[in-house]
Amino acid sequence: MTRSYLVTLAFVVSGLILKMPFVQKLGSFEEISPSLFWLGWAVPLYVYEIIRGQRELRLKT
Amino acid sequence: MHSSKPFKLTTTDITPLLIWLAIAFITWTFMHSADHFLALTPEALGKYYNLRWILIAHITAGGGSLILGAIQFWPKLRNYYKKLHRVIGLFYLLAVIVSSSCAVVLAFTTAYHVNLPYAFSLQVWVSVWISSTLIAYYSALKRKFELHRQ
Repeated sequence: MTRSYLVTLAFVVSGLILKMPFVQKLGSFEEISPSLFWLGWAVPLYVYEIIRGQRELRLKT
Repeated sequence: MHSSKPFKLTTTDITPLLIWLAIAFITWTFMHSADHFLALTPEALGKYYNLRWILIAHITAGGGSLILGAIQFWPKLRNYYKKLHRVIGLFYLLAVIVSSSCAVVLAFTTAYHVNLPYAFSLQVWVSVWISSTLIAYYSALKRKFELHRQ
């Protein structure tokens, strides 16, 4: 459920990043949006997996 | 269907409630920015005109999934009202299925009007969305709650 919701939330994450003026200066919507779509879900999932891994490691030791 | 202790809001509930309110507000703002599509004219919809109902269903159900999903992470509600947790979970699943099915259609049609990387990003994104949601649902059905939480 956490993973599913992080991917759901990616719409808001990438949407908010795309609205930032300094991000808009990086290029046109067509140029920058694919990278930001990936960033919106892949990075939160990666961070979640690190946190989960650390938690599991702490429980084992 | 709930714990023997009476349900009472405490200071520990402030954080999940504030997060939910923030998500609900952002969702409302995002959905509001798509209001011009509701004119349903070719000028307002542009490349989405032929798939207007798919687009509207995608946005509406997507907004629903954002608001419903956030409730599921409120620990007290989950622990006190398991039946309510399941009902909200089913509505979340339904919202994701509707929104993601429409997203599949849009990612394989109108997205190509932008460019190939854009379409491909949306296709991968929707695949991850559908698979992660089905894994969460399937693990709940199999009563593998640790996997369900993940």
